[in-house]
Amino acid sequence: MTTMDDQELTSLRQAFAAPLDQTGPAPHLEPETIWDGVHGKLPADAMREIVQHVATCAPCAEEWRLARTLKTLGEEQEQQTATPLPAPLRFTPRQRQWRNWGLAAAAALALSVIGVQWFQTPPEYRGDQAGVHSQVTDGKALPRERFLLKWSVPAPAGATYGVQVSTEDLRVVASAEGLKTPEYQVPASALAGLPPGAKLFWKIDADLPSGSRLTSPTFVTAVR
Amino acid sequence: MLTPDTQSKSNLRAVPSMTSFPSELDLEALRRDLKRAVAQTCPRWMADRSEDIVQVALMRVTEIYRKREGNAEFSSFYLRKAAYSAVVDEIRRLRRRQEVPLENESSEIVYEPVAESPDPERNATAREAGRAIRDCLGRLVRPRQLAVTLNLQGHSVPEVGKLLGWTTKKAENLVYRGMADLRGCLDAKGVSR
Repeated sequence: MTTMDDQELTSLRQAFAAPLDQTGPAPHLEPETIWDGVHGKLPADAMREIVQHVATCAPCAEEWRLARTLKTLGEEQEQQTATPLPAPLRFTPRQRQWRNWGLAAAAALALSVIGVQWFQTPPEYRGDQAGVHSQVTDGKALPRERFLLKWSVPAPAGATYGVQVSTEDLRVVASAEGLKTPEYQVPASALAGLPPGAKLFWKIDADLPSGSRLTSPTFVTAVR
Repeated sequence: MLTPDTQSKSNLRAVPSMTSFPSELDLEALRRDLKRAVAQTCPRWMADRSEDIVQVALMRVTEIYRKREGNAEFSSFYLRKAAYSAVVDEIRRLRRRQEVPLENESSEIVYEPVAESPDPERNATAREAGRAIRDCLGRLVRPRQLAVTLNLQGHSVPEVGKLLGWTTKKAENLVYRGMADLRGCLDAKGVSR
């Protein structure tokens, strides 16, 4: 058997992480699954399935590395902000019994809350497949006195729309609901304090007559 | 078209201030970490857009928080996971746009990713090596494939063992043998390392 030195391992890792020229076989792993995998929160069987996919799917491998980097950065941050624990308390046997019951109850409550939230909460932040498309030229700045946002959906008849417009520092400058047409003019007064070139981030929720809701990706348009 | 006046009849509302996050989450730290991770991990054409990618992701996280304000379980860990998911969504959207031929898009769209590096030949060689590694990984026996994949993703041998539920000794053995298999496969393909 041959051995591998650090330099060769580094070289192989770099090649494995080489930029993509295609997105690889679909379907890709859900980002939440990748995150849980990187954090060791999946059962071993599920973990092996996922890693097997990552072995041959370049985009998922890239996203895995992204999650791992974030995990490392988060751990570094935690270490920097960690404070020493207080000295252990001494309990009498009676107190210890009450403490243990209390800890058990708190743990059960926390697990039930987390479980309910985790399994019942819809993935509200997903929206990449929405089917809502911006009709504003990508990269083009709009004049503040006529900052007209337009979008399209596959079946616009009878749809109503909600729009939210935010600045780069996440300040919501305007929003509207119940729009009957796929366009919205941001009031000039809402943009008055923004410098020329400021980027505005906007997204659309479309309620269709069928009862389904489409959420757009976030679009970026600058103010002139 | 709706003017501001008519829009006011459509529940127009102005929200003057940014949503505040729980004290345990430092939003700026999250933004910094996301940007660093994208810059370190993603290809250059995408890393150059890290500012926008992260901004979009944080907007979504802000929205989630606004909807669940007051929930005691809205932890820093959950927010980081949500932010990561939003970043990946945005990355996938950009990837799809990169792949869609321009004639199929609106004629107004002018997006074109920048070149990865000034040396196209080097890029092509790196991509070819990456493809060869993935192909070889696909041929390894499964335990070795898993071990080598995680090792190539930057995980240490003890981490590989922990993630896959193996002892460190077993992980070490599988990484060692798997890497030997990988080398043999790449040599057979004539891929230089």
